Amino acid sequence: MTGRPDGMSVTVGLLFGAIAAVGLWSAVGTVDWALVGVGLPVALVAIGVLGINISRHQ
Amino acid sequence: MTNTPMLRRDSSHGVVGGVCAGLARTWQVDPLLVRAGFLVAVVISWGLGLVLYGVLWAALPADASRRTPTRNLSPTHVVAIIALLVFAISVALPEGRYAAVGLSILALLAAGWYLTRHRRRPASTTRPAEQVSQWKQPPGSPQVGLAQNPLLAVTRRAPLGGWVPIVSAVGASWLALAIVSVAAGSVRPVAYPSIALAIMAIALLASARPRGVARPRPRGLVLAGLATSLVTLSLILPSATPASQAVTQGPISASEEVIELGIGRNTVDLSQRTLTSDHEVTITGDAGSLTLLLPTDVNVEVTYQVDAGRVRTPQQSDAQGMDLQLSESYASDPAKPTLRVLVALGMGTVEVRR
Repeated sequence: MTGRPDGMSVTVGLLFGAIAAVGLWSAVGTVDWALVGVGLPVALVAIGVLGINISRHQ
Repeated sequence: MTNTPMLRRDSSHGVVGGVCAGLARTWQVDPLLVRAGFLVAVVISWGLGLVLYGVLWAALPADASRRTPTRNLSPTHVVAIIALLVFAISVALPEGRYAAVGLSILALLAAGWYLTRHRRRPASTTRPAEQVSQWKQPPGSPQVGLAQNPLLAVTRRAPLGGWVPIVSAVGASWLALAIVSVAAGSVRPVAYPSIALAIMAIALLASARPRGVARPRPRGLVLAGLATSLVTLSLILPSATPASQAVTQGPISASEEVIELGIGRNTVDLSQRTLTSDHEVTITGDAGSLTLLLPTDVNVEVTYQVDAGRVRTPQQSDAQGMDLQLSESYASDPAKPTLRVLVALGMGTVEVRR
Protein backbone atom coordinates (compact mmCIF):
# COMPACT_ATOMS: atom_id res chain seq x y z
CA MET A 1 0.00 0.00 0.00
CA THR A 2 1.38 3.43 -0.87
CA GLY A 3 0.55 6.84 0.63
CA ARG A 4 1.89 9.89 2.36
CA PRO A 5 3.83 9.57 5.59
CA ASP A 6 2.26 10.60 8.86
CA GLY A 7 2.91 14.35 9.23
CA MET A 8 2.63 14.34 13.01
CA SER A 9 5.24 11.62 13.43
CA VAL A 10 7.61 13.29 10.95
CA THR A 11 7.48 16.77 12.47
CA VAL A 12 7.60 15.66 16.09
CA GLY A 13 10.28 13.08 15.30
CA LEU A 14 12.49 15.67 13.60
CA LEU A 15 11.91 18.13 16.45
CA PHE A 16 12.88 15.53 19.06
CA GLY A 17 15.87 14.62 16.91
CA ALA A 18 17.04 18.23 16.85
CA ILE A 19 16.77 18.57 20.64
CA ALA A 20 18.52 15.22 21.10
CA ALA A 21 21.33 16.32 18.77
CA VAL A 22 21.94 19.48 20.81
CA GLY A 23 21.79 17.43 24.02
CA LEU A 24 24.32 14.90 22.74
CA TRP A 25 26.51 17.72 21.49
CA SER A 26 26.54 19.29 24.96
CA ALA A 27 27.28 15.86 26.44
CA VAL A 28 30.40 15.26 24.35
CA GLY A 29 31.72 18.80 23.98
CA THR A 30 31.00 22.48 24.19
CA VAL A 31 27.96 23.65 22.28
CA ASP A 32 28.50 26.54 19.91
CA TRP A 33 25.40 28.48 20.91
CA ALA A 34 25.96 31.07 18.19
CA LEU A 35 25.64 28.31 15.63
CA VAL A 36 22.61 26.84 17.41
CA GLY A 37 21.06 30.32 17.51
CA VAL A 38 21.12 30.42 13.72
CA GLY A 39 20.65 26.76 12.91
CA LEU A 40 17.74 26.01 15.23
CA PRO A 41 15.32 28.64 13.85
CA VAL A 42 16.19 27.56 10.30
CA ALA A 43 15.59 23.92 11.24
CA LEU A 44 12.28 24.79 12.91
CA VAL A 45 11.08 26.62 9.80
CA ALA A 46 12.18 23.73 7.59
CA ILE A 47 10.41 21.19 9.81
CA GLY A 48 7.26 23.33 9.83
CA VAL A 49 7.25 23.66 6.03
CA LEU A 50 7.77 19.92 5.68
CA GLY A 51 4.92 19.19 8.10
CA ILE A 52 2.56 21.55 6.28
CA ASN A 53 3.50 20.00 2.95
CA ILE A 54 2.79 16.50 4.19
CA SER A 55 -0.50 17.54 5.82
CA ARG A 56 -1.75 19.27 2.66
CA HIS A 57 -1.69 16.05 0.67
CA GLN A 58 -3.34 13.86 3.28
CA MET B 1 -14.12 -1.69 69.18
CA THR B 2 -13.60 -1.52 65.47
CA ASN B 3 -12.84 -4.60 63.48
CA THR B 4 -9.68 -3.77 61.55
CA PRO B 5 -9.07 -6.08 58.57
CA MET B 6 -5.99 -8.26 58.74
CA LEU B 7 -3.05 -6.94 56.75
CA ARG B 8 -3.05 -8.75 53.44
CA ARG B 9 -2.31 -7.83 49.87
CA ASP B 10 -5.40 -6.82 47.90
CA SER B 11 -4.70 -8.43 44.54
CA SER B 12 -8.12 -7.70 43.11
CA HIS B 13 -7.71 -3.91 43.50
CA GLY B 14 -3.95 -3.75 43.16
CA VAL B 15 -2.06 -2.09 40.34
CA VAL B 16 1.26 -3.90 40.70
CA GLY B 17 1.27 -6.38 43.55
CA GLY B 18 -1.63 -5.20 45.66
CA VAL B 19 0.53 -4.04 48.58
CA CYS B 20 -0.69 -0.42 48.56
CA ALA B 21 -4.29 -1.51 48.09
CA GLY B 22 -3.92 -3.94 51.00
CA LEU B 23 -2.44 -1.25 53.24
CA ALA B 24 -5.22 1.15 52.24
CA ARG B 25 -7.85 -1.43 53.12
CA THR B 26 -6.24 -2.09 56.48
CA TRP B 27 -5.93 1.60 57.26
CA GLN B 28 -9.34 2.27 55.71
CA VAL B 29 -8.14 5.09 53.49
CA ASP B 30 -8.26 5.75 49.76
CA PRO B 31 -5.70 3.53 47.95
CA LEU B 32 -4.73 6.54 45.85
CA LEU B 33 -3.40 8.24 48.98
CA VAL B 34 -1.25 5.24 49.87
CA ARG B 35 0.08 4.98 46.30
CA ALA B 36 0.90 8.70 46.21
CA GLY B 37 2.65 8.43 49.56
CA PHE B 38 4.56 5.40 48.36
CA LEU B 39 5.73 7.22 45.22
CA VAL B 40 6.90 10.16 47.31
CA ALA B 41 8.73 7.73 49.62
CA VAL B 42 10.42 6.08 46.63
CA VAL B 43 11.62 9.44 45.35
CA ILE B 44 12.78 10.67 48.76
CA SER B 45 14.56 7.42 49.56
CA TRP B 46 16.27 7.29 46.16
CA GLY B 47 14.52 4.06 45.25
CA LEU B 48 14.85 2.22 48.54
CA GLY B 49 11.07 2.31 48.84
CA LEU B 50 10.98 -0.20 46.01
CA VAL B 51 12.86 -2.66 48.20
CA LEU B 52 10.34 -2.11 50.98
CA TYR B 53 7.55 -2.79 48.50
CA GLY B 54 9.29 -5.99 47.40
CA VAL B 55 9.69 -7.14 50.99
CA LEU B 56 6.02 -6.44 51.78
CA TRP B 57 4.93 -8.14 48.59
CA ALA B 58 6.97 -11.21 49.50
CA ALA B 59 5.92 -11.24 53.15
CA LEU B 60 2.20 -10.49 52.96
CA PRO B 61 -0.23 -13.20 51.92
CA ALA B 62 -2.79 -12.42 49.26
CA ASP B 63 -6.53 -12.54 49.79
CA ALA B 64 -7.95 -15.97 50.59
CA SER B 65 -4.48 -17.36 50.91
CA ARG B 66 -2.31 -18.14 53.87
CA ARG B 67 0.73 -18.65 51.69
CA THR B 68 3.11 -15.82 50.99
CA PRO B 69 4.35 -15.40 47.43
CA THR B 70 7.87 -16.40 48.43
CA ARG B 71 6.62 -19.97 48.85
CA ASN B 72 6.06 -20.40 45.12
CA LEU B 73 8.40 -17.98 43.40
CA SER B 74 8.98 -18.58 39.72
CA PRO B 75 12.39 -17.91 38.14
CA THR B 76 10.92 -14.73 36.60
CA HIS B 77 10.00 -13.45 40.07
CA VAL B 78 13.47 -14.21 41.40
CA VAL B 79 15.10 -12.33 38.50
CA ALA B 80 12.70 -9.40 39.02
CA ILE B 81 13.48 -9.19 42.75
CA ILE B 82 17.23 -9.34 42.09
CA ALA B 83 16.90 -6.59 39.45
CA LEU B 84 14.93 -4.42 41.87
CA LEU B 85 17.55 -4.96 44.55
CA VAL B 86 20.34 -4.07 42.10
CA PHE B 87 18.41 -0.95 41.14
CA ALA B 88 17.77 0.10 44.72
CA ILE B 89 21.36 -0.52 45.81
CA SER B 90 22.75 1.27 42.76
CA VAL B 91 20.74 4.43 43.42
CA ALA B 92 21.43 4.29 47.15
CA LEU B 93 25.19 4.23 46.73
CA PRO B 94 26.97 7.52 47.47
CA GLU B 95 26.42 10.21 44.83
CA GLY B 96 24.07 7.91 42.87
CA ARG B 97 26.97 7.17 40.58
CA TYR B 98 25.72 3.73 39.62
CA ALA B 99 22.05 4.69 39.32
CA ALA B 100 22.15 4.44 35.54
CA VAL B 101 23.28 0.81 35.77
CA GLY B 102 20.25 -0.06 37.89
CA LEU B 103 17.91 1.93 35.66
CA SER B 104 19.16 0.30 32.48
CA ILE B 105 18.87 -3.18 33.99
CA LEU B 106 15.29 -2.36 34.98
CA ALA B 107 14.51 -1.13 31.46
CA LEU B 108 15.97 -4.23 29.86
CA LEU B 109 14.13 -6.46 32.31
CA ALA B 110 10.83 -4.69 31.59
CA ALA B 111 11.34 -5.17 27.86
CA GLY B 112 12.24 -8.83 28.30
CA TRP B 113 9.30 -9.42 30.61
CA TYR B 114 6.89 -7.85 28.13
CA LEU B 115 8.31 -9.86 25.24
CA THR B 116 8.03 -13.20 27.04
CA ARG B 117 4.60 -12.41 28.42
CA HIS B 118 3.36 -11.27 25.04
CA ARG B 119 4.59 -14.40 23.29
CA ARG B 120 3.01 -16.60 25.91
CA ARG B 121 -0.38 -14.87 25.72
CA PRO B 122 -0.88 -13.37 22.26
CA ALA B 123 -3.56 -10.73 21.93
CA SER B 124 -6.83 -11.74 20.36
CA THR B 125 -7.57 -10.75 16.80
CA THR B 126 -8.79 -7.33 15.86
CA ARG B 127 -9.61 -8.12 12.27
CA PRO B 128 -12.53 -6.06 11.01
CA ALA B 129 -15.86 -7.74 11.32
CA GLU B 130 -16.54 -7.54 7.59
CA GLN B 131 -13.35 -9.47 6.80
CA VAL B 132 -14.29 -12.18 9.26
CA SER B 133 -17.80 -12.50 7.87
CA GLN B 134 -16.47 -12.73 4.31
CA TRP B 135 -14.44 -15.82 5.11
CA LYS B 136 -15.77 -18.81 3.23
CA GLN B 137 -15.10 -22.37 4.17
CA PRO B 138 -13.36 -24.31 1.42
CA PRO B 139 -15.86 -26.50 -0.46
CA GLY B 140 -15.96 -30.07 0.74
CA SER B 141 -14.21 -29.30 3.98
CA PRO B 142 -15.83 -30.48 7.17
CA GLN B 143 -18.04 -27.98 8.93
CA VAL B 144 -16.10 -25.96 11.44
CA GLY B 145 -17.18 -23.28 13.85
CA LEU B 146 -16.22 -19.65 13.95
CA ALA B 147 -13.32 -20.45 16.24
CA GLN B 148 -11.56 -22.27 13.42
CA ASN B 149 -11.79 -19.24 11.13
CA PRO B 150 -8.17 -18.64 9.99
CA LEU B 151 -8.74 -14.89 10.02
CA LEU B 152 -9.51 -15.11 13.69
CA ALA B 153 -6.36 -17.13 14.30
CA VAL B 154 -4.16 -14.24 13.20
CA THR B 155 -2.85 -12.28 16.15
CA ARG B 156 -1.74 -8.67 16.32
CA ARG B 157 0.60 -6.97 18.72
CA ALA B 158 -0.95 -4.92 21.45
CA PRO B 159 -0.23 -1.16 21.18
CA LEU B 160 2.27 -1.40 24.02
CA GLY B 161 4.25 -3.97 22.05
CA GLY B 162 5.77 -1.16 20.01
CA TRP B 163 7.56 0.02 23.13
CA VAL B 164 9.65 -3.14 23.45
CA PRO B 165 12.36 -2.22 20.92
CA ILE B 166 12.41 1.37 22.19
CA VAL B 167 12.80 0.41 25.85
CA SER B 168 15.37 -2.23 24.90
CA ALA B 169 17.41 0.27 22.90
CA VAL B 170 17.23 2.89 25.66
CA GLY B 171 18.19 0.32 28.30
CA ALA B 172 21.13 -0.97 26.24
CA SER B 173 22.42 2.51 25.46
CA TRP B 174 22.09 3.62 29.10
CA LEU B 175 23.94 0.51 30.20
CA ALA B 176 26.73 1.33 27.75
CA LEU B 177 26.86 4.93 29.00
CA ALA B 178 26.87 3.77 32.61
CA ILE B 179 29.77 1.39 31.95
CA VAL B 180 31.70 4.19 30.22
CA SER B 181 30.85 6.53 33.11
CA VAL B 182 32.07 4.08 35.74
CA ALA B 183 35.16 3.17 33.75
CA ALA B 184 36.16 6.60 32.48
CA GLY B 185 34.00 8.92 34.61
CA SER B 186 33.50 11.32 31.74
CA VAL B 187 29.83 10.97 30.76
CA ARG B 188 27.73 14.05 31.47
CA PRO B 189 24.20 13.49 32.84
CA VAL B 190 22.59 15.15 29.81
CA ALA B 191 23.77 12.21 27.69
CA TYR B 192 21.14 9.89 29.22
CA PRO B 193 17.94 11.79 28.31
CA SER B 194 19.49 12.91 25.02
CA ILE B 195 20.17 9.40 23.82
CA ALA B 196 16.70 8.27 24.95
CA LEU B 197 15.19 11.19 23.04
CA ALA B 198 17.21 10.31 19.95
CA ILE B 199 15.88 6.74 20.07
CA MET B 200 12.30 8.02 20.44
CA ALA B 201 12.84 10.37 17.48
CA ILE B 202 14.07 7.47 15.34
CA ALA B 203 11.06 5.39 16.42
CA LEU B 204 8.70 8.24 15.50
CA LEU B 205 10.29 8.68 12.09
CA ALA B 206 10.19 4.93 11.50
CA SER B 207 6.48 4.85 12.33
CA ALA B 208 5.78 7.79 10.00
CA ARG B 209 5.99 5.71 6.85
CA PRO B 210 2.70 5.11 5.05
CA ARG B 211 0.21 2.74 6.59
CA GLY B 212 0.76 -0.85 5.70
CA VAL B 213 4.51 -0.30 5.42
CA ALA B 214 5.32 0.75 8.97
CA ARG B 215 4.13 -0.45 12.35
CA PRO B 216 1.79 1.99 14.06
CA ARG B 217 3.20 4.56 16.47
CA PRO B 218 3.40 3.14 20.01
CA ARG B 219 0.82 4.62 22.32
CA GLY B 220 2.15 7.50 24.43
CA LEU B 221 5.40 7.88 22.47
CA VAL B 222 4.87 11.58 21.72
CA LEU B 223 4.02 12.28 25.36
CA ALA B 224 7.08 10.39 26.59
CA GLY B 225 9.19 12.28 24.04
CA LEU B 226 7.87 15.61 25.28
CA ALA B 227 8.72 14.73 28.87
CA THR B 228 12.21 13.60 27.83
CA SER B 229 12.64 16.81 25.83
CA LEU B 230 11.84 18.88 28.90
CA VAL B 231 14.40 16.96 30.96
CA THR B 232 17.02 17.36 28.20
CA LEU B 233 16.36 21.07 27.80
CA SER B 234 16.46 21.67 31.55
CA LEU B 235 19.95 20.15 31.58
CA ILE B 236 21.37 21.97 28.56
CA LEU B 237 19.76 25.40 28.85
CA PRO B 238 21.66 26.61 31.95
CA SER B 239 24.88 26.45 29.93
CA ALA B 240 23.21 28.43 27.12
CA THR B 241 22.33 31.45 29.21
CA PRO B 242 24.70 34.38 28.88
CA ALA B 243 27.47 34.65 31.40
CA SER B 244 26.95 37.06 34.23
CA GLN B 245 30.05 38.39 35.90
CA ALA B 246 30.35 39.33 39.53
CA VAL B 247 33.88 40.59 39.85
CA THR B 248 34.99 42.10 43.10
CA GLN B 249 38.45 43.25 43.90
CA GLY B 250 40.48 45.81 45.75
CA PRO B 251 40.34 46.83 49.42
CA ILE B 252 37.07 46.36 51.26
CA SER B 253 35.62 48.02 54.30
CA ALA B 254 32.81 45.81 55.64
CA SER B 255 33.69 42.59 57.40
CA GLU B 256 30.87 40.62 55.74
CA GLU B 257 29.68 40.54 52.19
CA VAL B 258 26.94 38.71 50.30
CA ILE B 259 27.07 38.04 46.57
CA GLU B 260 23.90 36.74 44.91
CA LEU B 261 24.45 34.89 41.66
CA GLY B 262 22.17 34.99 38.66
CA ILE B 263 21.03 31.89 36.78
CA GLY B 264 23.70 30.93 34.29
CA ARG B 265 27.45 31.20 34.26
CA ASN B 266 29.02 33.34 36.96
CA THR B 267 32.56 34.29 37.80
CA VAL B 268 33.47 35.67 41.20
CA ASP B 269 37.01 36.98 41.23
CA LEU B 270 38.41 37.36 44.73
CA SER B 271 41.99 36.87 43.62
CA GLN B 272 42.88 40.54 43.86
CA ARG B 273 41.49 41.04 47.35
CA THR B 274 43.72 42.89 49.75
CA LEU B 275 42.59 42.20 53.31
CA THR B 276 43.55 44.13 56.42
CA SER B 277 41.45 41.93 58.72
CA ASP B 278 39.43 38.71 58.57
CA HIS B 279 36.63 38.88 56.06
CA GLU B 280 33.59 36.72 55.20
CA VAL B 281 32.01 36.37 51.78
CA THR B 282 28.76 34.49 51.21
CA ILE B 283 27.96 33.52 47.63
CA THR B 284 24.46 32.20 46.97
CA GLY B 285 22.74 31.04 43.80
CA ASP B 286 19.83 28.86 42.64
CA ALA B 287 21.15 27.27 39.47
CA GLY B 288 24.09 27.66 37.18
CA SER B 289 27.82 27.47 37.25
CA LEU B 290 30.28 29.41 39.37
CA THR B 291 33.95 29.96 38.71
CA LEU B 292 35.54 31.18 41.92
CA LEU B 293 38.99 32.76 41.81
CA LEU B 294 40.69 32.82 45.22
CA PRO B 295 43.58 34.99 46.38
CA THR B 296 46.94 33.39 47.04
CA ASP B 297 48.49 35.87 49.44
CA VAL B 298 46.00 35.42 52.33
CA ASN B 299 44.62 32.47 54.27
CA VAL B 300 41.42 31.14 52.76
CA GLU B 301 38.71 28.89 54.21
CA VAL B 302 35.97 27.81 51.84
CA THR B 303 32.76 25.88 52.55
CA TYR B 304 30.66 24.54 49.72
CA GLN B 305 26.99 23.58 50.04
CA VAL B 306 25.61 22.31 46.74
CA ASP B 307 22.20 20.60 46.63
CA ALA B 308 22.85 18.86 43.33
CA GLY B 309 25.84 19.21 41.09
CA ARG B 310 29.61 19.17 41.08
CA VAL B 311 32.47 20.84 42.92
CA ARG B 312 35.92 20.99 41.37
CA THR B 313 38.69 22.56 43.38
CA PRO B 314 42.45 22.20 43.61
CA GLN B 315 41.89 20.02 46.70
CA GLN B 316 38.59 18.33 45.86
CA SER B 317 39.45 17.27 42.35
CA ASP B 318 35.91 16.32 41.35
CA ALA B 319 33.10 15.80 43.87
CA GLN B 320 29.65 15.33 42.43
CA GLY B 321 26.24 14.21 43.59
CA MET B 322 23.48 15.40 45.90
CA ASP B 323 23.76 17.38 49.14
CA LEU B 324 27.44 18.12 48.74
CA GLN B 325 28.95 19.71 51.85
CA LEU B 326 32.67 20.26 51.65
CA SER B 327 35.19 22.44 53.44
CA GLU B 328 38.77 23.21 52.64
CA SER B 329 41.40 25.70 53.62
CA TYR B 330 44.40 27.21 51.95
CA ALA B 331 47.02 28.50 54.33
CA SER B 332 49.38 31.25 53.33
CA ASP B 333 50.80 32.86 56.44
CA PRO B 334 49.30 32.52 59.96
CA ALA B 335 50.05 36.19 60.59
CA LYS B 336 47.94 37.30 57.68
CA PRO B 337 44.13 37.74 57.78
CA THR B 338 41.73 34.98 56.72
CA LEU B 339 39.16 35.14 54.00
CA ARG B 340 36.19 32.89 54.75
CA VAL B 341 33.97 32.04 51.79
CA LEU B 342 30.65 30.21 51.94
CA VAL B 343 29.28 28.99 48.61
CA ALA B 344 25.62 27.91 48.71
CA LEU B 345 24.37 26.73 45.33
CA GLY B 346 21.10 24.96 44.59
CA MET B 347 22.00 23.14 41.39
CA GLY B 348 25.06 23.49 39.24
CA THR B 349 28.82 23.39 39.11
CA VAL B 350 31.41 25.15 41.25
CA GLU B 351 34.92 25.41 39.91
CA VAL B 352 37.61 26.93 42.09
CA ARG B 353 40.95 28.25 40.91
CA ARG B 354 43.74 29.58 43.06
